[in-house]
Amino acid sequence: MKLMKAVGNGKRGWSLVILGVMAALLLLPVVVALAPATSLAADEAPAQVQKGKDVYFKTEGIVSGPPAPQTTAKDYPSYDLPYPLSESRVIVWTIAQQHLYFGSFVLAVPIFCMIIELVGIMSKDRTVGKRYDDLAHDFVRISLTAYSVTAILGGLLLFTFITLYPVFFTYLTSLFKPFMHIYALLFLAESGTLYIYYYGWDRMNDGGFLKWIHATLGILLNVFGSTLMMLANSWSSFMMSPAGVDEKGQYLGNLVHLLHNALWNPLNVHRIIGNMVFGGGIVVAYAAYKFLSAKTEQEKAYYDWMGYIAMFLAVASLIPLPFAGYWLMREVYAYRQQMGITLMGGLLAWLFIIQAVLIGALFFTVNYYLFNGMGRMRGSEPYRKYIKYILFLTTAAFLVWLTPHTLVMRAAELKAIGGQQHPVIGNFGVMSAKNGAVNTMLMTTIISFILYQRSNKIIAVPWAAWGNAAMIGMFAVALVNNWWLAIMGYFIPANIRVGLSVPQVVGTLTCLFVGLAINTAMMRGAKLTGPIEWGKISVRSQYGLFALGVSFTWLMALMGYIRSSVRLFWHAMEVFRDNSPWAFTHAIGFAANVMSFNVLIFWIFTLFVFWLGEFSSHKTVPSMVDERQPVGLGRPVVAGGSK
Amino acid sequence: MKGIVSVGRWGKILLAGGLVVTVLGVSVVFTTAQTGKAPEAPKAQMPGKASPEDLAAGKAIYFRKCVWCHGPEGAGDGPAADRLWPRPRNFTQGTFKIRHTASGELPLLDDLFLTVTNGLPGSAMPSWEGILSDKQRHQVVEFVRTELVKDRDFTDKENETFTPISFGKQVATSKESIERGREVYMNKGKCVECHGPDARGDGNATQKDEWGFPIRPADLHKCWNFRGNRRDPYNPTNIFREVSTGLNGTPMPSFAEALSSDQRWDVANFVISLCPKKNIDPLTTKPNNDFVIKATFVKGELPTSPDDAVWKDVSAAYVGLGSQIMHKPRNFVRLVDDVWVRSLYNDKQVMYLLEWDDRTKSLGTPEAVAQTADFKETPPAGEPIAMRQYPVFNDAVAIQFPSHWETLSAPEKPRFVFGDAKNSVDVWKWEADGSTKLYTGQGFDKLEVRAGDSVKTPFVGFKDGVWRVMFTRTLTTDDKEHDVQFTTGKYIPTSFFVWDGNNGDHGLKMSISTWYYTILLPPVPKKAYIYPVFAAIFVIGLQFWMVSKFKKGSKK
Amino acid sequence: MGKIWIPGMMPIELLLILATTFFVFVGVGWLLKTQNRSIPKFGQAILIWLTAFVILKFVLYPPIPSALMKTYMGLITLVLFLLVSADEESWTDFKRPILKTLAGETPGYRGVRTITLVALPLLAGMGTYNNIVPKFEEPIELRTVHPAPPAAVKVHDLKGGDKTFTLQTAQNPFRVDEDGQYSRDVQQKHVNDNPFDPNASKYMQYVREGGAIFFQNCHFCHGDNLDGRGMFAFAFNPIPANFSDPGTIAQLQETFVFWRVSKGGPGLPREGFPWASAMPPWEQHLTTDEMWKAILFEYWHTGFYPRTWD
Repeated sequence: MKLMKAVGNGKRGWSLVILGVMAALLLLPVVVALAPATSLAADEAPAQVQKGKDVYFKTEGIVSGPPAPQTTAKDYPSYDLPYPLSESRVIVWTIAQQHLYFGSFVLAVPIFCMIIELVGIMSKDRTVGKRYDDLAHDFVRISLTAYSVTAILGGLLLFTFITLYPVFFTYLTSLFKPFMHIYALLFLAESGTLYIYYYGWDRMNDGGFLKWIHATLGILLNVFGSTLMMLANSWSSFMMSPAGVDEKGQYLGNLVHLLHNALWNPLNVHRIIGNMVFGGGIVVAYAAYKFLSAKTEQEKAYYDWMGYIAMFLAVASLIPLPFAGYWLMREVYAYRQQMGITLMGGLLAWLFIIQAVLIGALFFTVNYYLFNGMGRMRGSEPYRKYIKYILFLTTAAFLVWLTPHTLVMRAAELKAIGGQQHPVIGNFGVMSAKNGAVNTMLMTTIISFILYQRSNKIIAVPWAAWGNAAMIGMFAVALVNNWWLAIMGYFIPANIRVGLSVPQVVGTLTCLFVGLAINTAMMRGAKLTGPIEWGKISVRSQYGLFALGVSFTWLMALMGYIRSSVRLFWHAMEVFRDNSPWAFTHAIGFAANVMSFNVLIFWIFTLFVFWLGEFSSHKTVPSMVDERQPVGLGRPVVAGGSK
Repeated sequence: MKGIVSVGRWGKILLAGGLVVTVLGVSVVFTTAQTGKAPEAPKAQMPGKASPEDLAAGKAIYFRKCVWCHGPEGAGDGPAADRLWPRPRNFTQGTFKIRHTASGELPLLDDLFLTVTNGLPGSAMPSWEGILSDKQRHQVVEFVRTELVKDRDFTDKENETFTPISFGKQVATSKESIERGREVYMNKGKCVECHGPDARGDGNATQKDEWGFPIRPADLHKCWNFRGNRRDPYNPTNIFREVSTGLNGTPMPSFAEALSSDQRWDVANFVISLCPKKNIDPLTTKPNNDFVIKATFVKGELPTSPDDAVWKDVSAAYVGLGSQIMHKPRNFVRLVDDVWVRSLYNDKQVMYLLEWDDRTKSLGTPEAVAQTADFKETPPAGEPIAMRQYPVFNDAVAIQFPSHWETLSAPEKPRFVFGDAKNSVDVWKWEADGSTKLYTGQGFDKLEVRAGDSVKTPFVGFKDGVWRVMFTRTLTTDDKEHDVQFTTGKYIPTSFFVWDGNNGDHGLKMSISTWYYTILLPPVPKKAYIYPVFAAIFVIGLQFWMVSKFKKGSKK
Repeated sequence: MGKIWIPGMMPIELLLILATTFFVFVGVGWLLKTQNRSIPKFGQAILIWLTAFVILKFVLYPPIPSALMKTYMGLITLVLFLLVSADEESWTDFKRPILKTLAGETPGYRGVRTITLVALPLLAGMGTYNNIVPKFEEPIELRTVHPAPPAAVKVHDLKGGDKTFTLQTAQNPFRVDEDGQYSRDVQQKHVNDNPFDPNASKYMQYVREGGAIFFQNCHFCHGDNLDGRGMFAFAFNPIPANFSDPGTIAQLQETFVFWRVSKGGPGLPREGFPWASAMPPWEQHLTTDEMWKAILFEYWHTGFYPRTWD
């Protein structure tokens, strides 16, 4: 009955219509995707059937497209610019990277908004609910400017492809044209939804039915966004692992095969999770930026909190990322073994060392932030003495983690060591040691978080001693098990060794989920020693947060480059050869420089976007004084900061 | 309230530091067993019977690690033996070179253990320390001496004696001791007869061992190659021991009777003094290669003789040489295993001085030229390489550069032996017949002589087992297509080849080095003196700014 | 400072030494605390830094390359910064001597300040000079040890003809049980057998043949213990692969090793430095069967198992 009533109301009626239209648009791709398949079947002319065999699915199909062109150096125009820019590849690389940066940010933020908005709606405490709602709203605002930048960069990328890689782009469009149209349509739908979502935020915020519609729009926005990304992914995964064509690159009339190539799904999953991590990183940096430029205590408090939430979201999404990466790698190996070896052991292996350093930097930053975060809580003093243990374990693990298998050294140093592998630390270079190290780092980070949770509380549950004993036992067993397996790994054949990572990861995940669950349960009814004094965190920690964002950007540039350059001299692996004068793999130093340049450009852009955001800021930021907490316990957090 | 012991702040720091050092020290003591090197012979004891467990364990080790060279019967005839020089030990007769016992006696078990532990540098026998545990090494020695030494019995009390040498009182090395040692070497000891006047093993190069295999007296300038050096090449104790015991099975006699212990110490000190002091790589027991050949700038004319004073200030680079075993004919025996390289340049020319030890000066014979057809195939397995007789060819030496190193993007180079199809090399080769020729190489089989006389050899000489050859060329030439061009301050890949004519070295049968670098040392750039001043001024400015800012801040 | 290197140190030993040192520090800190004393944070940081330096430079053996040493020490510096600035109290404690020096509170501090103010510019100058003045050490060259193999390799067989091996599916034809069937477990079964036993199994006979081939051809570089320290190894750069290291053949498929053996140095891609490797393409000297047998021997002798993909 309530629903009927709602439909009667004009404003609500419109919102339902909008939702309906959006949902209909959602079905569009399915329709379009099926359409050509059926029409092709009808057009089949028996007279001149030429059959081909799918390179991946091994099915027979009717040749219905041109073969991949045999290009020569003349097919690759370039600008007459000084050295690195005279390589068309570098231009495409830079623009594509920027587009991907902004694109993934724009795709990730709605995911957070959706979650935070829902958290806000569900909150029983309206002050807290309002605070989350404002936060979500803030997030969309940041992403709105980025959205237009993404679109502009997308257009730029398109033109760059058309002008600099005309033959390749023509071939790719000849295969993917239906998907490209769907892509364009979805883009429209995404834009529409986004604008309604953002501009309708306050109007639809009636705390009831309309708010739910709004939240649904948020979900819809994410569906559009993810579909868009998956379509675009199919192009890059096609280049790595072509399917739906025969060995000459001739299209065989099956769109699903084209789309569903070997690496499409692993790439989709990896990218969605990766986007969330990356988006979280940007929001973290935004919060840090606002914190550092904040003028009032109230602003400081709010942005401190925002940074905390965003950091939490980014790290939470970071946890499944390695598994997605593992799946992707596995599929790469399964598709072409030498592609996997080029990545992990061959030409590109040196870049994985940089990756290791960056990942280690992430762990350190998170831990450091949590340590500093304890500073804004009264009663955290007893926990500070554990910092040195955590740091030591993390450092030892990181030493192992970053030690490369093959060392960078001079010939004389090599002679002194007696091989590319150092007899002592060379052993840290293999998978077994790395698994042990990364799991150790994960566990120390979990411990940091548990300590952080406890910082301003005195445990009240009667089973506190048992709970602590269980947790200490669990972590001890997990750590010892992890180290033991890491050492064991040296003494058993590789095929068994691969399986060892499973119990290691299981141990870590158990610690994560069970540990946090026990801890949360123990916090029930705990006596607060003081409120979290939002805004009292050190300035250093905010630079740390900024570093977190930058690390993510760097990682993305690095891993993207690795994924892309593993094709070596192929446009589409083993189907369409890259015959451009710059089809060689760059020297590592050069690649690293271009990546760093891309990171720099992106951050200049981003800081500009942040700065633009200042002009449309909220008049006031929400208060961070929590009514549930007794104010009298500590100093008043925000001078006169009640609503 | 103060603590029980009152210590200052620095005291505390020292205390903490001391604790750390103690912990480290203890762990070091526990993990290193190599301490104390006072010369003392191991106790001589008639060994008892080996236990069956040790024999079984030793046998398993022997048939995994040792059998490949020493053979299933221990006759030194394993699958590898025929391609090895020196040939692996034949255990059957119980003849062992490296001992503490008197000439002709069996070695102590400790001697065998030390040999297995340290290997025999200069031969294929590696050090087994770290690969086999102490216990395993003992076990394999037990197996060898019980089962494989067939003609003699270590436990035969009637026929076997073990008289360890006496080290006497060690004579510390000194100018006088070395001089006395030289005197003994030249006269009383008659060492010079085999080892040669300059002690480069060139006295008598045609000796044979007990089994009829050719054997050469040691080159005493290469202590890292002494079989008995126990991986401690600069320690005279090992020389003293060998002079005292002699080397069973070889023409090297024991001097325990002929020379007093002091005289033997003097000889040992003298021998060690001959050996250039280099850092010895513990893994290969060879000197570390000096991968950069630094050419020093000379004002005015370059020297015309290797004895010119200008060379004294130029350090010689050690270039290790391996055998060309990559391409037919594979060369399994190379008698020249290093060459010392020095380089100079002036504003017009670059000069190299190459010095290497060769026991004989060889000039090609007509007979050899007639047999060059045999030099295409690898010597077959199954024919003892140590017995192979070669006709005599020219001694020769060559330097190789990439023809166009400046256009190659680092680290790419031509293939290190005679280049490849893509990247050619420029080879300067001098032969003992006095010819100096230029070659262009594009692969093993594609080394072609080319016309040109830009490379000169202003000095060539052979004396007492050492060849010395000087090469010069102008820094740049007109033939940019083939000739390497030298530029100051750049790393120019360089490698070396040596042929020992007496060993049948000819064509691809030769000693080879890997790629080294020549660099013509540029003068120190002016900015190296200017920039530091700027940096210092900048820091001073920064300091003043900080201090003044800080003072202002603290006044507030 | 003399070298207190520990030869034959195990990787775990290094970690244990680090852990022991850490606990010694913690213990000392605790002892001092019971007497109401403490080492100032600034001193602690310097002490820890120096200790780490001593361990990595003088205890770890063989010495590690300078690039890695710099990375390690950089990391330790960073971690020390994180440690001292993890909470406000220790950060203040850490900064105190620096601030006091800057302020020149007592004559002692003023002395230190003067020394620092003079020393820093000198150090900066020396550092700059050291950076600019050319050193002429050989350039650092990044070589990829295990580059990506091709999908298939066409190998010339000395017995005549060419054979193509697909690396992902090919198997060592001599890794067989008594029935001549390919067997994964056969090596495990015979790992302690004597290859010269007259009653040796089929697999062990192949191991013996492979051993003979290895010792007639490969050991000159790869060494009697397959550890890359053969007679000629010292002259070559890159030095020959050490098969007894868990990072070489233990990490590779048998077919990968076969590719490397058959094509040798010249068959490497550019990142593997084909111009520098002394490894000949063995297809010029050995039959394919001989190469497979030598590989079989290498695995048996080292006790490692070839990598498999499952």
